[in-house]
Amino acid sequence: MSIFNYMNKYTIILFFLITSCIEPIEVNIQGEGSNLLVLEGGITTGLGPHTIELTRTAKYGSIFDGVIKRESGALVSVRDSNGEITFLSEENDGVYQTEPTFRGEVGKSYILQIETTDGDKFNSIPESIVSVPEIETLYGVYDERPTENPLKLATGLQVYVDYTDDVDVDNYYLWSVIGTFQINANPELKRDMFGGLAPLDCCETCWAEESNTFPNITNDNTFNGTFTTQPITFIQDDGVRIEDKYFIEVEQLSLSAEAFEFYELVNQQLSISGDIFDPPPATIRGNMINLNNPDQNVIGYFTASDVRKSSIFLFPNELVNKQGKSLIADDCRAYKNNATTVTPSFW
Amino acid sequence: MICQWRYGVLIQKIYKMIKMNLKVRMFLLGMLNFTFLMLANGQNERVNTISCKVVDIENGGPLIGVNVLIKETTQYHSTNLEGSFKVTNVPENGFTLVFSYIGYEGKEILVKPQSKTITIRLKSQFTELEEVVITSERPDANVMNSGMGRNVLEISAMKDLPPLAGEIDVLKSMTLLPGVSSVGEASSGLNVRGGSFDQNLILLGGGVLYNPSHLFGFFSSINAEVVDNIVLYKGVIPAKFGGRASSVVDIGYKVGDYDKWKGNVGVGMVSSKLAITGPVIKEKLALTLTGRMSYVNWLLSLVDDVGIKNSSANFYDVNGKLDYRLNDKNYLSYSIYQSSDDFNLASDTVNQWSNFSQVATWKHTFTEKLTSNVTLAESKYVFSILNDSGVNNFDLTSNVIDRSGRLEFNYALNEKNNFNAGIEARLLKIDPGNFELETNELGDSEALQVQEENGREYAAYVYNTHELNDKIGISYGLRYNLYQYVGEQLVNDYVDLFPRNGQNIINTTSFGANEVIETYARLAPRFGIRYSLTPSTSIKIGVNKMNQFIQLISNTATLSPVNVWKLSDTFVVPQEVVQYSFGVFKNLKNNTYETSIETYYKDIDNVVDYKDGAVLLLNENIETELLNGIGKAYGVELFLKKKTGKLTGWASYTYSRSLRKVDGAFPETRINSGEWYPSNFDKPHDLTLVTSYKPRKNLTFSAVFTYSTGRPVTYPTDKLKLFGQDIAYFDSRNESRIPDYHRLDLSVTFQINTTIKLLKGDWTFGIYNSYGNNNAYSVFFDDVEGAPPQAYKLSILNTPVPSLSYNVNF
Repeated sequence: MSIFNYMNKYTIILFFLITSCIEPIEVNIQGEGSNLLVLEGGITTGLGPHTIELTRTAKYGSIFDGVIKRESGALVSVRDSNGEITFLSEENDGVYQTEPTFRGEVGKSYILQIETTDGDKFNSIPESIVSVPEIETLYGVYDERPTENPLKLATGLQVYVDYTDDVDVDNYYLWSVIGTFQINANPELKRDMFGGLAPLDCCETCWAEESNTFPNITNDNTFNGTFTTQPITFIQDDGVRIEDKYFIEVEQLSLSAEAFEFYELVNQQLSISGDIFDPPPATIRGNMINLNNPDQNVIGYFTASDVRKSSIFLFPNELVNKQGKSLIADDCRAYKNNATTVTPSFW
Repeated sequence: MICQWRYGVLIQKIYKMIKMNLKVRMFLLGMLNFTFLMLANGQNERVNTISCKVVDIENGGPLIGVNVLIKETTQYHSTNLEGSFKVTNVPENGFTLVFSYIGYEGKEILVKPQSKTITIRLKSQFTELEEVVITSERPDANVMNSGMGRNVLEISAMKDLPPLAGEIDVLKSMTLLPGVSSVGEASSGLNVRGGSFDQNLILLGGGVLYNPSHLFGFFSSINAEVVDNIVLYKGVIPAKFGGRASSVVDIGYKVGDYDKWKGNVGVGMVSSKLAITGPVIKEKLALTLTGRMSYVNWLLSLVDDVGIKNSSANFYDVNGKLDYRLNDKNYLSYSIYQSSDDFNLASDTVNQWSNFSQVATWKHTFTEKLTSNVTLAESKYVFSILNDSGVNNFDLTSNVIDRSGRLEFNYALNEKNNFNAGIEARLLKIDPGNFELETNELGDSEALQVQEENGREYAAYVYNTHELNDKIGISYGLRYNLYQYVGEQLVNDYVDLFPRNGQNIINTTSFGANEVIETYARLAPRFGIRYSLTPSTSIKIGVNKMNQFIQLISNTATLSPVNVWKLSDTFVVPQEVVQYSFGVFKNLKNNTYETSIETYYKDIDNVVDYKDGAVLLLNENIETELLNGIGKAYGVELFLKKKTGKLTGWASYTYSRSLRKVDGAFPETRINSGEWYPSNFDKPHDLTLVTSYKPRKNLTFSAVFTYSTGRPVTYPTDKLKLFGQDIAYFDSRNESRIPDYHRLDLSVTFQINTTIKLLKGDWTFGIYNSYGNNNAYSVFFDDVEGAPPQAYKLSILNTPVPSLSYNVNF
């Protein structure tokens, strides 16, 4: 729960719109950039493969320096509290994965070990897996929201999960969401840049995945030990998403207190928008240590979580006010980056 | 018989004087000898006393501190607070009095021995001045007072400043003084000599104000109509004040009118105000009522934006005061103040805050020299956020309650030697956060309350101001503070070896109601000395120590209503500031010009800072987010003021630094690797030019120009990708700055020449930011996909903002 979210940029623009403006300025950022190691990922009690992604920070402020470099060729392994070591293999540039059969166990603790090609060795602080309660219900509720345009409301389905918090311990939760929807396009109606009809042969039907961008986290401070409803995501009806049906899969993950703090800091930093209630910029750290140079910061948190999954289909008839179907006069694969013509197995 | 009686009185007098003043004692002994001589010369010698009074020729007001020389005896006299003095033992042939007073023409008169009372009228040298502003201060007070780092702003001077949206802002006017700054437009928080905004004790008629701001700091919530004057203490602070580390802003109420009913109406662009005052019982009981109300909503409805149209903002403030002159010896007053703000954004969330204060005082005069003052005060600051959106309705409130009582004695041995002593008790109660969440449609709710905090602050003080002679004056005092943090409270014990966090709690101790958890005793000495090189030049040295037991835990750059107040406890040790200051003061051309150079150095202990990414609101273990650091601040303030004439104004330039250092035992308890770094309000260069031109009565042109270095911000060094988003990486706090700030405000105030009384008011037309400078309010970074990361600045009030207001007295 973040009260600061309610104090968005409007607070300031509100009164001074007539005489306020936001404009780009030149700032001179010194230094060459720190080229720090950035880590993302972790392991869960679910089936693998579990992914660790390694990148490097890039200098801020210049278009040429601003490219995030991937850290490839590193030796990555996970060691559990029994001393058992599991190596991760590099599937892609900087993307390391465990075997699909690898899964973490509740109660055990895990250390991530990395050795980069330049010889630096990194170890994480041990992360132990705390159990997470089952998702009792996953459901969508029709909702309308105001938009910038006073004549128009955003309609869609607000997705919630119900679960009962564990009373004995301090629980920290993270939800990750993957939504899948079908795109029905009309490639035969494609027009060229002059407005003339330029029909395409392919493709009419695709499927695309989308996920939440901000980590959705909470702690049980306000509801310890009780039956709780957590809003997960709002699926806006844009005339494409909820035409046929919409598949949503929610993972409910446990976090350690330190991991929660890390996510909270990242969320806080992502919300900086220049308004008067902004928190000050902060240094993001994590749970990795460079053994060769302990003073150097390593960014990112290696998580070890218990996971519970749930998935449902959402249907257009749940929408009280349905938006009109959007016409996509193009190849359906052009509609979204990751759109594919392969029918998902669960569809 | 007569001789013996006289002798006895003199002995008593001498006995009193010996304790204080060598010079006076010598003088009295001389007098004593002289009396004996006279008595010895024979009983027939006539002993005569002549009372003299010195007044201004134009308004008849008494002139205080006029130097009077009796030519024949070369004795010096000085007029008292009533403008009078007595000459005893008048020579048979009369005598000649020579008057000299700065700003007035000199005079020499012959007094005949048979005179009983005489009144001398002195003529001001500035006869071209059509309006005489009577101040309670000597025109050379800046040079002659031993106090330093003290500024007085008369409300009449403030009224000549260009207003914003037609409002005279008593607190913002202070930022025009040397050594005082604020972090930006929307902040009424003052930073005095490198101190944070919670280090200022803001007193309205003796009651403490915790957040005197309207519209999140855009205006201050003190109605200028109730204010008589404001005294800012930033150097040597009298011992009667304590509890805040940096400065005291003492706002004095006007005394109501005992004689006839009168009032004032002011109409501005954002708000209007009304003030009336008059006698309930003539000559005895005066009532003053003032109110101010906004109509921002109406302005918002004109804006063509859904977010703004659906928003609302309101504020008001009211003051009431009773002055009761019971008799010559007793004066009673009661004042009450309430300010309130609420705004809701395009969302269903309403933010509200309010200040309440009530003060009762009783001033008793025992003798002309000894007076007492009893003050009882209560202040309350409440902040709340209400969400009525339908989903997860919640209600968050927090408040601070401050109750205090003070007994004070003032003993004026003479005009030049004044003792002030008293005791004070203060009870502080903070409810840091009370959160109620509606869990279902039936209205069932869950509550989360962060533990209430209770503190007691006791103080005893004594302070003496003594102008030893024309050359040397001293002011010194001592304040003893005893602070107790008391239950009911659960206090955590943490493992020493690790940074404090929720996992390292080893034990929790429960303290009962009023049980003392932690005690801090602090001695705060104050000392200032003035040495006059010439009658118009002096140097001053000051040493001042202050303690602070309540702090604002804030991680926003400005004074935000969501900041949490926190009492000193086991983990948060009271802040302590020691300030050393040195100044040279010189007045030129008979006090027409005041000039000064002041320098200071401050040592700050136990500065509260916060960890990166700290969550301060509704945090039950807030100590886990706080860090303890040290600070230092230093600066030079140059000041030039022209006080009289058609053209008045001042120029002030300040160079100052305000630095912090947080060097904990662990990486996360250090800031910038434990090195010194600039505080959020470190603005090295600060230039202010204020001018006011009055070509004739009823017409005033004013201009204010300010320039300052941009405040520190943290710029990213790197960017990184996490969760599919580009994030800026910040290496160290406050290493860069936002662009420099400058602005010129103009205004003209005039009266229309008419016989209709209601139209005889003052029209003020002002332009804020007259050349429309795009001052950066803040700088932030945004990454847009496919484009280089870009820094943006947010400017507010970046175009000239005209305003018109009308004020009429009736």
